[in-house]
Amino acid sequence: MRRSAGAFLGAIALAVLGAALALSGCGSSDSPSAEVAPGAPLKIGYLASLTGFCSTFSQEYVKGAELAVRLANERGGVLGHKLQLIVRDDRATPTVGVAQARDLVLSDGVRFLAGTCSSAVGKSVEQLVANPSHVIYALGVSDPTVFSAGPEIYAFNTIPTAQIEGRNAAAYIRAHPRWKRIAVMSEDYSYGYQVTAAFRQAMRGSGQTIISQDYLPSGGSDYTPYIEKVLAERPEAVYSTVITEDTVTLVKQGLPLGLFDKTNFFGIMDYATIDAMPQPPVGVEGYTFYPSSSIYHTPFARELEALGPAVANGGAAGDAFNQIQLIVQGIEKAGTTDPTKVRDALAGSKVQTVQGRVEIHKCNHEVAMPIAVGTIVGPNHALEFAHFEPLRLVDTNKYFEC
Amino acid sequence: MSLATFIGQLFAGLGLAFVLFFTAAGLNLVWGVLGVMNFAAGAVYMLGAYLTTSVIARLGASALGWTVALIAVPLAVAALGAVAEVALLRRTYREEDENRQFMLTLALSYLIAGGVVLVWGTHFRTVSLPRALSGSWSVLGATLPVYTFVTIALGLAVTVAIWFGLYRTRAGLLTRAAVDDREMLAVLGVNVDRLYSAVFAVGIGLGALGGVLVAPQGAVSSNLETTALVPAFIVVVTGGLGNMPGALMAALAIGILESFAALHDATLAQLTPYVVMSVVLGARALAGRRGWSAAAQLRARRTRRERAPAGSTAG
Repeated sequence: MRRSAGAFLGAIALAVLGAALALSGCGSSDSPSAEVAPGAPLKIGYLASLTGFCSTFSQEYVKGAELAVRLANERGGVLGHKLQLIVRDDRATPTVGVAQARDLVLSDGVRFLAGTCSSAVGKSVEQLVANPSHVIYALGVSDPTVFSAGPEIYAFNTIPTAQIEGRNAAAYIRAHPRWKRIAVMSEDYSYGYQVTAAFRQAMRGSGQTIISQDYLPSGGSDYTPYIEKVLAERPEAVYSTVITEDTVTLVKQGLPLGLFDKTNFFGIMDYATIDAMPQPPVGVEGYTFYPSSSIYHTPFARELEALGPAVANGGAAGDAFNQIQLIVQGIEKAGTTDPTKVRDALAGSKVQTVQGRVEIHKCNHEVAMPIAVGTIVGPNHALEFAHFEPLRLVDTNKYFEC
Repeated sequence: MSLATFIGQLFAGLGLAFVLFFTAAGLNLVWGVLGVMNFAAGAVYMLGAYLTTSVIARLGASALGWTVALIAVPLAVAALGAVAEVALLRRTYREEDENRQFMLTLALSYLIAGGVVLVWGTHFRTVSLPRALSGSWSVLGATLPVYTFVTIALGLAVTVAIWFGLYRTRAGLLTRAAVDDREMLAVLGVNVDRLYSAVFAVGIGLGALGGVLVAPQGAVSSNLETTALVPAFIVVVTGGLGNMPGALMAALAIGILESFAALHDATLAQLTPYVVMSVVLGARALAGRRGWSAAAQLRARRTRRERAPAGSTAG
């Protein structure tokens, strides 16, 4: 009796181990066949952060991805395959993102992934798709370390990293040598620290002094003490990496305190964010790297407008649209759905995006998206929402060190 | 430090303190009387802010719109709180397992958060202030936002109202009596169930009022839930559970110290609430006290008395 119980327990242990191996993908002969079967739908898994800290724009991302898929299918698909989008919620959490990505690859046979707004998720999924799965992964995240492993990775970045953003901000401040005392206000999480580090490094030798750097609590409801502190230091310019809803809080509380009158303020000001402000900081210099449709006069920007002005200008939809387009164009360039061949075809090539035709750097698979810089104006005869006027596009190729 | 900087930081700290106090006061009241730690307080605060965006969207950012929001939103949320108390919480008071109350209020917070996403979506919302409240005044060289004056004034008014309600009205007398001995109050013919519902509703309404006041200061998003709940708990624990004057003092100390800490380092400022709480709890421990308020001590004494064998004396 005791022996049979032991054997029974042993059998259960083996079954559990076998199930775990099967679920993890280990022990399988290899990843699924390299190419999608002829005529079969080409599945693209989309990691949308529908819940979690960056859920604010998640619906816009999904709409952008869905639009790109619909338009591609209306044109007959790619290499005879209709596209099929499978949306999963990664909850902006690495463990969830990896579990969803693994399930998409192993259960749904997905060979192409896109999405997530979280660098942490992106980094984890990038490691998952690199080996042994060999899955193309198009994403837009700011953490440069996601793409630091070199040209062998299968991930492609559709927005400038924190490094590029920080260098661009430094170039802007350096172009105003009269500003000697610079204060930096950043988000208190990895993005803010990375941009600030890149900014500081690029400011070296400028003759301008960074007198303070303050990391504001992400999602905070009262920035007044921090604004008062910065103003008390009497900086000539303030560089801000405070983003999305935190920008709204900063602007609302900064306006009555004179943050934008007493300093030369330069910060990230996405169109979705300034459009949501009851009183945008008119006259302030801002920048955005998101592909808002009204900034760019390209065929893809016009297609994006099918989503309506609010979503098309928000930028999130455009980013997701670009990710799907990158996958589609990669397959067309390679002439096959084999992810390794698609990767090799994309690296170093140029692709059409909402921002126009841009280069994909071979060394790290970062797409050299331009950054739009301009002065904020309210709604006017040109556009019915707050925007940049005048506006200039910065070619970010000069910031890459490949 | 210049006088203008000192005034500016002090003023910002006071504004921060009173926003903290609204949610903390609601938590404290519910804990002090009902003995329930309301984990839905952050969600209630968020709900108050979202409802405000809807009221202002409907009536406009006028004096009328804001007056209606300031009165109607806390009342509406308080009514919802009363319903939740009658339908759910009331069934748990007699149970010895306090985890049920904890789980119930936690479930309520998830329900509210889910409801907010269903009704308002995941995108953040913003509202503007009436023109008269959106500017600033210059006082001794310091630039002080008009709206912070409003927040502080309302905070003082609510503090006085709570004190008056608790110590100068029959309802307050009964509420304080309920803290000491619920059974005796029932024997005296007081409808304790109704009293509990009213107290829970007032506690919830205070949290919602905090949400109304914070709505025009920044973006209204689901982040508000967590940004409100944790500091409110810190204020309540620092001030002493169930101790309303203690909560006010704790909110003022944390708000003002956080504001001045920001002068040196933003990260240090964010740590201030935790540092203040640690220092106060440490000091209490050193003083040989357990960190409980007079109300909680009374409740503990009452529990010991109830559990003591007949004929013996306790507490």
